[in-house]
Amino acid sequence: MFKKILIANRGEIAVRIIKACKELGINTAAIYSDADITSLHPRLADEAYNIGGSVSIESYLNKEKIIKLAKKIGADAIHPGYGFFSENPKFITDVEKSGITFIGPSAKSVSMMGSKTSARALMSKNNVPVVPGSLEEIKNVNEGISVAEKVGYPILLKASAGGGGKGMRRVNSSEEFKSAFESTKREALKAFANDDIYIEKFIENPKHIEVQVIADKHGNFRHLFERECSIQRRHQKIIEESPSFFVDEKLRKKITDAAVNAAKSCKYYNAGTIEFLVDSNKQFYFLEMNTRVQVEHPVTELISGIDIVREQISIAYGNKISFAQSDVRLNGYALECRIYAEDPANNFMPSTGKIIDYKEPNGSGVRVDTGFTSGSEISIFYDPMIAKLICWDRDRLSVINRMKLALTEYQISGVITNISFLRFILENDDFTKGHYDIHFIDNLFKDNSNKIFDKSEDDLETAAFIFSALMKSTKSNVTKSKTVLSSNAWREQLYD
Amino acid sequence: MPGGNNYMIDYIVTSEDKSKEIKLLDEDFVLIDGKKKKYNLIELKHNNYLLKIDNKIYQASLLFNLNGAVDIFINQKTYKVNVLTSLQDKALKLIQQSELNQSSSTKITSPMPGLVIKINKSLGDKVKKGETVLVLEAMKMENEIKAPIDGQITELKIKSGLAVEKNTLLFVIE
Repeated sequence: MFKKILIANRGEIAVRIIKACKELGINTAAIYSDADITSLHPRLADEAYNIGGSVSIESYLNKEKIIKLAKKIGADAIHPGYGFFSENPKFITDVEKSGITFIGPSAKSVSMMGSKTSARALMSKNNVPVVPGSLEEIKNVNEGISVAEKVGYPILLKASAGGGGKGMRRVNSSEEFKSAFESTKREALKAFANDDIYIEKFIENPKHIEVQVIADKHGNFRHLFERECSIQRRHQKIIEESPSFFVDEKLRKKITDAAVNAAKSCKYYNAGTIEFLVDSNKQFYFLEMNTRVQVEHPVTELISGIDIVREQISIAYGNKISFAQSDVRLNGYALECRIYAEDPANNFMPSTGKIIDYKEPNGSGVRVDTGFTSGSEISIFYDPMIAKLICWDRDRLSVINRMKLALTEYQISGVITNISFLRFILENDDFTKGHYDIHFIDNLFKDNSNKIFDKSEDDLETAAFIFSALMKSTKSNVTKSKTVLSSNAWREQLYD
Repeated sequence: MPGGNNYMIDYIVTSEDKSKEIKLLDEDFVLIDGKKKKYNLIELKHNNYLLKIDNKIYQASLLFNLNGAVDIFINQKTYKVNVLTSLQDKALKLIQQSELNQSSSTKITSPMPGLVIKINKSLGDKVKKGETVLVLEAMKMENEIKAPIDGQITELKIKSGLAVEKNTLLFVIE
């Protein structure tokens, strides 16, 4: 087995990988940027190296520095986590050239799935259904209009190099086509430095359902069932669950077969995820393949009993997958909530600062994957995810109830979090009944715009107001003789 | 605990757009907008308390932001509050009124902490309402800061690449 793994990532996923390494008896080396010295990952690793400035390009996206460090400290493998270098073929090639194992797929598999048009073409060749549309880039307006008429309006114009909802536009008729074509091209060029665009039929009210696959370097392929990830805000997943309430045995068989075919078609090894859109008639369409470990992998771990990160490491080393397909059964129900540092009452503005108090929920069937604790600084430089709260129970309603309680127990002060918003979603009738698609959150705001953050918390508000007055009264008494060093008027007001 | 000389003072507590009047009667009772409540305050550790109101116990802490503002964190919810004695409240309202009468400039402050990644305008430039003056980025999210009114930029306090806290003065339009 590997002797030492360098973890080229930060936050909760770095911590998750460090734990898997320790369980396997492998030494761990963390890298951290200036801003991340107070995060958990540097202190949990056996060795920690400051890799550079807080801006990602100087640290977590500095390829030369990372590979040089890995060689210098004698790491025999690099785990990229998700984001940063996890899906960068050039990084993989350079790591492997330096004699270090990349814990992930080959550069070739990543490239094959990297461009949306080439992935679509590859999938349709391999019996994986894709959204009807063009399999190649659309060169001009006339060609586009004729393709659009063939698939039928409404259609989506999408950037080949796109992702995250950028470079995407709905077109309802041929009259709208020309201006939409031009602006999508402009947007794609700006966002991805590549203005290739293609056409997809617009799927009405779809669900986002994805399949976890695992493959090794010996040509063995397995799947670990599906995850339902339709609860998204601005294309960012917030709540994920497994299994999907919507998927019956027939669909499960078809969609997992398709996912395994997709993985085979790019000669995949490592853990990977095939994302699908599923319409209300249970027709599913390939969306994209993520060639890395996914943020929401814990829900699959809880229902399957398979440790996905340990499996990744073992496969990269050259071992066969540790289980047979017939060994894994769906067991119970798992739900994940992403805890973000953002203010739901203020248009989800990012919230930064130091975490003052931090107390995790616990109990049977409760798991927290976090990268931070009290004293940790949540900075402006990286994405706003603080932690993931994952719950397991025997059925869906029980796990929702368990999650609600766990969210209530979760205490994070110092930065504002989306916990109250997550609780609001879990209390929604359509959510508990499983009636939702990827527009759930938009619809929630349409129907309840003013109710969301203003519900029956009068008692709490009263307590907050009384507490404020008591603090002012207390502090002005006790600290009268102390000098308060602050130029801020508010603070002086409070201390009198 | 509050000392005797602080009882019977009226406080005006403001959070977001709500204001309430609070009078501490004695070490057991408080009036909130005229309604009497029983309370008990126990300090757990520095700035960290248990507050019992009638029959319910809350865990509450006092937090200071990097930019000095005061937050109350109570049972998972954060309240930005401002506490004034009713005397201070009256004085402040008078000052604000006179400032409003004098000035025609608009100060634009940062709506979130972030990194200034682009500045489209320079000092002295004329801007139209809705025009993007600069772009802030935080946590992978870009936020265009637009001119709220037509006018001229008379102060530009920041440079590209600078990290700003929430509520930092960015520019002034007259």
